[in-house]
Amino acid sequence: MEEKKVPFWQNRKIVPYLYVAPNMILFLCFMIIPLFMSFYYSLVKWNGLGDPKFIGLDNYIYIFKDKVFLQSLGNTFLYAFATVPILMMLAIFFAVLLNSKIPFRGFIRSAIYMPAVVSTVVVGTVFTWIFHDQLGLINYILNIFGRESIKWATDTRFAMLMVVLTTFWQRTGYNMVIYLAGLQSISHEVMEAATIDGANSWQKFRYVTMPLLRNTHVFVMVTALIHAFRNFDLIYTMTKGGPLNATKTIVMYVYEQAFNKNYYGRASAAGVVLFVMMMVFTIIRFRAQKEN
Amino acid sequence: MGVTTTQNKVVKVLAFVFILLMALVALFPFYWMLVTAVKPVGEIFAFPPKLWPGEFHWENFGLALERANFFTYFKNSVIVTFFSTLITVCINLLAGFAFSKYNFKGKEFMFLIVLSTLMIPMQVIMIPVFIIASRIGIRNTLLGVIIPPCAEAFGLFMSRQFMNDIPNELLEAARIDGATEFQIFSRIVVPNVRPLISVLVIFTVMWRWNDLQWPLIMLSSDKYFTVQLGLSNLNGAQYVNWNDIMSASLISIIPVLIIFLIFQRDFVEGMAASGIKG
Repeated sequence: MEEKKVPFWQNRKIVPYLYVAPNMILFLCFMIIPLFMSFYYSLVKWNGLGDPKFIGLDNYIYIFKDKVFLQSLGNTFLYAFATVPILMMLAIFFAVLLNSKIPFRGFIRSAIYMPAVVSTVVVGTVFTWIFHDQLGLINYILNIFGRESIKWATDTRFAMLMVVLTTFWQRTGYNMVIYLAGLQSISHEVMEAATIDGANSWQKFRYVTMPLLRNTHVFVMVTALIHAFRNFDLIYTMTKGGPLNATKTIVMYVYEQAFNKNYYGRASAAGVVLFVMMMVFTIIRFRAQKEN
Repeated sequence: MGVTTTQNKVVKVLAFVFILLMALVALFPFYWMLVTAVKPVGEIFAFPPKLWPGEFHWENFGLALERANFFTYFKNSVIVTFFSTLITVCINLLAGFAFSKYNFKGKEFMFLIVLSTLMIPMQVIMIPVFIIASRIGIRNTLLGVIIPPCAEAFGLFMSRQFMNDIPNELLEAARIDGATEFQIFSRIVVPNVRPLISVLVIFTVMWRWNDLQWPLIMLSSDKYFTVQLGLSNLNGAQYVNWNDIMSASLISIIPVLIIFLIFQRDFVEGMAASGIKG
């Protein structure tokens, strides 16, 4: 009987709990509990001081009547739909080219991927400079072609375009790498069979590569969508949501309501709306993965 | 047949020229940062901009660091990144091992809960986390920047997947040889998951070094600012000193560029394996 008495750190019923404890405690304190608190805050009126006052769904009613929130919602979708399809096209185009044997392949691949490594703040800063209305390179190039300079950061018609163009530069390489992995999983036999059947490069791309990349398409699309919906750093650095809310997205709205205006209830309600949208994307992604 | 091959060739050459051009477009902003950083101030305000500076003022780098308090910001960023990475690797290896190789009550449930948080954007939980941090007194400290984001499902998910590949026989053999449970972890498991550790390190370093939003909501005193927060404040200032901000930006990307160049292969593979992190 003596042998059965092992210290608790040797007991295989207890050890796993010790191992998961640090992680689970952090999760509980900084993820699970905050999530429920968020749902609760979305139902109260509170400025951070004093006691929260329960007001039911008033915050939701308020934000869905708030022009700025509706504009932020619209801007979020605009940003997502302006970036995601073109990012996917650029990414797949580069990936296909870089998957064939071309000179300087490694160099080109690294160069195109490099922007994804740099912090979004730096990206935003450099592009603020490049899009500068008086001293910027882009306006210089426009002038060369006989066009007027554009006030990128302060003209409501162009601010979103500036952010979108910057996103192309920053995110193409990241998505390209996912496509490259997808391409590398396509077997050579399939490609050779298509060649023997007399398919040209375009036909191989259109009828063999593209359908076989179906999983990758869904994956890249959802990842890019999620990134677009979450993107805070770039907009905060470049425009802070301005001019006149032209680039304000939901995440900017949540930040501003909470930390500039101290409307914790409204901010939480907007956060919950964001949460619901992310869940929809997640379900789409898991459905798509299951089908395969 | 002959026509199509020439056509194919032309298309291929054009495509190559195009992608080479795109690679240059990708690299150009880095060049532009460097040129702006070392230009004399007078040339910053020249329009049309000078693509090649008349004089090179390398001392701008040192001046920028001093003028904008960047030494402090760098020190803070190094502290935050180092400890975040250490904590992330430790807690995820341990928990990943337990979830993969032990049976215990509530295992499936706990893992499911963690997994379901994978897609929750930080903006959804940041207000409560901010309040909790204030209550327990870690708001406006480096600890407040380090700890809360460690609750993150991606690392645990990766770790468990990776640990599944370790053969159970290996662990049983060690047990028969009289290894303690912790020795099995430290002497058998850890040395066998080097690639996992490097993926975790790369991602955590990149994320934490580059992150703006957690430091932004957690910190209010200048002495605790991280590099990204300092840069973002400079960029938002009324009067922007482009020499300084480009010098500081360039210095701030050196650590991640070094990591990228060293671990390029792991990077690309890890990236493809995860994608989830966005």
